[in-house]
Amino acid sequence: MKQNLLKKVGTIIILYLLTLLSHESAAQSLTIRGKVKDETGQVLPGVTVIVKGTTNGATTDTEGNYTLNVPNGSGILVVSFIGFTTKEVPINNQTTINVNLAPDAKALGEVVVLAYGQQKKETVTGSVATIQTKELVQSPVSNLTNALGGRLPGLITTQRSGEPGVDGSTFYIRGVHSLNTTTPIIMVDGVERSMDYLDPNDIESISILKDAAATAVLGMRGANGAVLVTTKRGKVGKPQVNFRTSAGLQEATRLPKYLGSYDYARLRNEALINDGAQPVFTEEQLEGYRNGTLPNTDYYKFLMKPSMVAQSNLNISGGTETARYFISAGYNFSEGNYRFTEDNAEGFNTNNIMKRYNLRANVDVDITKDLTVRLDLAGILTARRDGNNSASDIMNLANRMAPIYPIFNEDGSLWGNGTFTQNIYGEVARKGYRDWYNNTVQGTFAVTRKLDFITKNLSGRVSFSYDNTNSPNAQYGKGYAVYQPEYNALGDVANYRQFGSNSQINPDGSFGGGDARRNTYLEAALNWNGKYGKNEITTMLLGNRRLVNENSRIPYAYQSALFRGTYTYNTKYIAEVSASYQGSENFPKGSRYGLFPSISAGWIISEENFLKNKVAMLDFLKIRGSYGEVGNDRSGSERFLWFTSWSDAGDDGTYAFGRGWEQGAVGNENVTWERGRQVNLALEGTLWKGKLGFTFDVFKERRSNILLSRSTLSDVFGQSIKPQNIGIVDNHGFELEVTHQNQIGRVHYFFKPNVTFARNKIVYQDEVLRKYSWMYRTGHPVGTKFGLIADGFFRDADDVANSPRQSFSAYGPGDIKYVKLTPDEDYDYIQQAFDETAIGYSRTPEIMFGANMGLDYRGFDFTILLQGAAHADVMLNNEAVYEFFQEGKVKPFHLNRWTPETAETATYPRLHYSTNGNNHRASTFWVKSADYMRIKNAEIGYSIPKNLVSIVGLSYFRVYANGMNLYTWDKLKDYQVDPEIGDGNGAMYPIQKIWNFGIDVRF
Amino acid sequence: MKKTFIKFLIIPTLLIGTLSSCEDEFLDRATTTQQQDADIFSTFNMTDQVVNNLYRKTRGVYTYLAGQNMSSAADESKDASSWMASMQFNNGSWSGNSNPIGNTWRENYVAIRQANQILEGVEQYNTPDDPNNPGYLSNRIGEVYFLRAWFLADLVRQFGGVIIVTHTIDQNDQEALNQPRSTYDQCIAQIVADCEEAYNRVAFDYPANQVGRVTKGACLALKARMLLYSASPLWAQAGKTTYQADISDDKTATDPEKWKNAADAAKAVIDLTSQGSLVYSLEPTLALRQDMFKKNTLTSKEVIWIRRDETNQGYDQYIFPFGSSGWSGASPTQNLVDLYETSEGLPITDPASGYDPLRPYENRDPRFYSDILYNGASWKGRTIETYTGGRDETSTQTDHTRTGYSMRKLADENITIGQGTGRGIHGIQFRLAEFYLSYAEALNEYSPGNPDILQYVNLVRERAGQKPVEGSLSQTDMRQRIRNERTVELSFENHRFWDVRRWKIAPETQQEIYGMRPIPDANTPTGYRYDRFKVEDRPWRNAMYVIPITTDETLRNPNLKQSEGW
Repeated sequence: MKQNLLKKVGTIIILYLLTLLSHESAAQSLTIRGKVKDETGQVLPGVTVIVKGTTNGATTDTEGNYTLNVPNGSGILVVSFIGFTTKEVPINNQTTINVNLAPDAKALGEVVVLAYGQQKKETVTGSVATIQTKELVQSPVSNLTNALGGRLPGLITTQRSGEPGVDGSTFYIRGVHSLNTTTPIIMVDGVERSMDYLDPNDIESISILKDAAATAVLGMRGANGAVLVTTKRGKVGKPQVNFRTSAGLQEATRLPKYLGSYDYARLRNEALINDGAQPVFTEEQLEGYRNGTLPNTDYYKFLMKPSMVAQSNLNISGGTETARYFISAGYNFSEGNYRFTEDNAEGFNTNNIMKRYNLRANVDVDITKDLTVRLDLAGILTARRDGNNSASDIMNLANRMAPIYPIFNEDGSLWGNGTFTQNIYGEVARKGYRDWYNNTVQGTFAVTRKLDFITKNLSGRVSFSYDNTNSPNAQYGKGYAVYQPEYNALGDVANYRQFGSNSQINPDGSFGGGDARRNTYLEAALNWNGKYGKNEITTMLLGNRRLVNENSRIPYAYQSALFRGTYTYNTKYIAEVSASYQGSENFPKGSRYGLFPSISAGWIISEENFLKNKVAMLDFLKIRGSYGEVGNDRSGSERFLWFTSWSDAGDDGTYAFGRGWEQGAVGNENVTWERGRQVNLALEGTLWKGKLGFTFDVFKERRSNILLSRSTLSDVFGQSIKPQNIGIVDNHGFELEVTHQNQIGRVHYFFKPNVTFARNKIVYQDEVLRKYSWMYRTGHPVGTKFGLIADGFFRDADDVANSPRQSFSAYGPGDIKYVKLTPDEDYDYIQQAFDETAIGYSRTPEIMFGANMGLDYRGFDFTILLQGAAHADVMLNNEAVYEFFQEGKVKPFHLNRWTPETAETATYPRLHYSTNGNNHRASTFWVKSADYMRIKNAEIGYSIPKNLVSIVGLSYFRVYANGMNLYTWDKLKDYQVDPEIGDGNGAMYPIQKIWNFGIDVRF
Repeated sequence: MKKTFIKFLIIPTLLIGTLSSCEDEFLDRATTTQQQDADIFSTFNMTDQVVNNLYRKTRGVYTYLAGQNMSSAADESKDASSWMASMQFNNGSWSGNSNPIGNTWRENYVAIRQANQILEGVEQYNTPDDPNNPGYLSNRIGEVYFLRAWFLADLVRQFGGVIIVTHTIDQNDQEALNQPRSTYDQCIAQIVADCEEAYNRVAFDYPANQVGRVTKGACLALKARMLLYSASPLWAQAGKTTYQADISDDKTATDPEKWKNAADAAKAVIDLTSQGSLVYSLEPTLALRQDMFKKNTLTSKEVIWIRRDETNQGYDQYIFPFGSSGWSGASPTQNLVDLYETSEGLPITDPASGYDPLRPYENRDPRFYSDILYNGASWKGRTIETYTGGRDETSTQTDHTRTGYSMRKLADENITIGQGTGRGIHGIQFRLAEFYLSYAEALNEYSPGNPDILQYVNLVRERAGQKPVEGSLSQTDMRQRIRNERTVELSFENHRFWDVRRWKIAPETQQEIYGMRPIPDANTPTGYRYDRFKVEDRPWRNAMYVIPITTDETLRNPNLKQSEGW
């Protein structure tokens, strides 16, 4: 009933609008009617039909019908609708024109974004992988880098922290290829910029460039691959308004669990006895811990709670033949998990909060038919807050404080003592707060001029970009005291001893200038393409210059000239040459410039007569290959390696008689860039009319000239020397991506799995002469773990007596027994120096896989992204796994420790209270597989039928729920840490699981 | 067609031309940035600041062990916290991969290179003298010679014979980089030579704000200390031909000539005279001896050389007892307490000493009361309570004394932890009492019965208010008394760890560590029963007489042999 009413009202409004239109064009000479349908035959309401070059147009009604009056029968109709390819239909004096629109996704897929340009996908000869906006917006993340894991073959990602605002992932393209920096460069709309805080809704596509054919034009910045982000631009058509908003909850995927006071106390007694010391807890105390009369503090339970995330974006795009625009505003909010952050009289919140505001306008204007200008402006403001503490400090405290200590005293004051002057409540609620701002403005102005007057299809472009980022911070610190109760003879609190002092926020706060970064980029390019019969040529010649001012550092500067030429014969044979000649300020005069060339070729076999139209299932099949040289000019943060210089030893560098000056590392006059030689071979194809597609790449790289410090230089030299170009690393592997999509009845589904394998090997790194072959790091992948081989626990005193001596600290039955590798005639005991060998994979996975899949049916849609990694190990230590580490505590898996009674089944050595040099050392015992698979992302949505939403003037209305990191399968459950945790003590802010609900509306 | 093609070529040519014409200025970013050798050594001021940096690199005496007191690595004391570096010595987990003191092999060679650089730079650039203070440049050069010897001596003390470096090595000079170790005695000779060169250039003393610069006395003192080390059983014979210590169980290696050199060198320190009067003299009273560690370090006539501003009030927190908000670092052991004689001037093992196990803290050497905090001691207006349940309870809990004692010698009672701005602590590297005792020790080895022996030992005791050693003792008994005196007088001053090694007595003294736990008991004369308990067993093998060289370094330099037994 209600629906009917709405329908009637809607119809009346539309009829009224149509009347207006027809009224306007009273002098009609022709009326055209027609129906617009999609490729499946379903009618499309809300489609814009416009006479080309005019503002005369109409919109289809709920039945997909339109009526349009045109002055004569010779024009062209432009039929456009979001999500579909725009179609142009000549009128040719017809009065009924029915149109079928094809979905847009396919059309987008046909162009691939490359460095400094784009190409038709079928003629690309380099190795490039791309995803579109639709997949990106499914991840409710505040940092875009966290949305890519598992989606792009060749991309390896790791996220080490979930703290709002500092939770970005690290990227490796095709794994680790160097002993130095191996992160790829990130370019947004052709300029090297950070992508972290872009709004996913503003992004058209993200490509990663993987081989030399794709990156040679990036010269000495290209060896680690590149990530290219392209933002959306306006298209001719009526304004399209998109609004998307969502809100949700986030919580830790996993939190460390520790044993309670009773278990803590009895295990500590046991450990002390094992150490030959006196137990410290009496039976009464144990009983008190057991029955709860004495403190039993669960720090994580006390500290953490689920918190909120929210995001919204409004964007409008459209345009006419002369001007097109995309404007967008976005907001993103993410709050940390700490409790008690608003426990203060002043009314501030000390939680970790990340707020992000994005504004963007991308505008193209055709001034004449030959001259186009483009102006892109983006403002990205982030404001991050924390409780004037670092997440690792708080995690360390939560991981360290024993459960027997209370958080509050009887009188409500904060508990502490001379050792524990930090109190967890005090840390989150009583230290004030800090605000970290990051204000980024990015602008690009470009002029493109068609130069057909010189020669046909020649165009020139000049563009200038200016980015500015300032990240000041403001600190409003305060201090808190902790109090240790002192008891009288009756056991009552006599008084409290105070440690530290309470202080209030200074209203002026303290201001940190933070970082200031300015990036200017100038580019001039000439593009030309020509077609002579079956020969097709495209060329690009480009010069650019980049200057980066970062804080007070001497500016970074690059300039290069680069070329790319493609030749296609008969749309079957493709050859491409590209090269850049580039210089960097980082090298001495005279050896600044390098040439980085690549060649590549492709053969579209499916176009050959012996296949074309003969193998029905085969749509497309291409073989391609490339070879090239690329470079990398950075070795950590150290610059100008050819210098030897003296410097003031700093504020700590004074002695009673004045400042101290010293000579720095000795320079390397022959310094040059790292050189990567890369080969890539691939096969790609589509079958059964696009139902099945695949891309398979194999690659090999040798990275040489890697800048390394010489490790064979004796300390007797008495000084560091700057890195030398000596390292060599090989890398090889493959990627496979398969796409399958199909429609069965009204169910449309897709399945898109991909896998990446990349294995590297250190070929040379100036390793010292090792006494035994198993000690060499060379020959293993970068980051391979080294340590002793653990061989269970000593059974008894006989076992101890009959085994080789272990030279680390006192040990006995129940302690870890190691394998001795040295021959008995050399050494009769086990030692760190000669018995350590390769015991585990590097922390960066060798295998990364993902599978995005989904289906839709009558407006319902469901997608899920599985993502995982394999061939990765983690070596945990300290608070993460050691018992009682530096007065710390114990975890549930410590219960299964060795005791004489449980010798057979124990999975943990006998306990010690003090640092145990024998057990607590790098060995296979602490190496754990960090393989995992997780439901990285899942989304379920429902789009209300178009005919319903159009009544209220909308063209699209979808509700959805999605989530991140929903479930994980892995092997680290015993340690209650996330499988993306770094090696070490586990003091990381937990990775977040997010549940999110939202709507997506288009007008 | 041809014409358009030419046009087509012109534009890119122009483009590349424009870029390449200005390439140099655009990429020239680091032309005139930083200081080079010539900028430094052409002025006295800059050269002076490089010398300052060399002083900065001297390791302090109280913080020698990675910021904590070296005494906890010996039988003098025990640290309370398991993270402290001494634990590695205590549990035997030190090795070539991990020297708990720090990466001292590298640190010292870095310092030696800087010293050599100054000596070479001054010559190469003909550095001018200080226009306002003629002679300063020569003085600075002397200081650098001394400091070079100091860093070499630090290497020798830890590792035995090492590689002597007297010029800056080129990074491609494989021969110089891969030298074998020199013999121990060659190293000593190099130290002595540098000390003598320095002696001729430096002053007797300096104005108040320059105290801490190398003096003639410091040159003599370093020479004397190293000659004493070289005469001791660990090195006396071995050092002549090798860089390896004599780690056999035999403890009697000796060489009278070396002892004589050591005695003469120590006597030279004692007798150093300037303008007709002795440069150094003992602080006259026990109270003034205590002040020397706290407030009179810069002015004391007993102090020969110091590490300026070695540490600050944080050090007081490190050694203060738990009940005074301290960390109970370097808590004295019962082993050390037992070495304090009774006020009769006799060891507690002597029946005539009057030692009463029921009243262990009565009638002891006055230095016991000034150097050690024990149960019942008066401290900061209260009484020390190391009994169970007391404010300074003996316990294995964090920051509690593990032995039943706390160190008083270096602690400033006037400090309250967490309050006030604290004090700067200057570490005493050399003081006169060391050389009295070194002189007596060396003399007793080659000229037993020499009256100087008793005289100098008793001067130290007399100042402390302790009865003199009397009668004619055998050489062996006298040796024992001198060693005892040295341990007590120089406790916590980074001597014992090295002394037990050069005397080769470590297997007897370093393995079992004891503490004393007072237990309230009304039936005892003091109200406490004193329970002597074992704090820990520390592993010992003779290889531990020397510290192993960094394993990596032995891998880099194939000619560098590891210390024996490691």
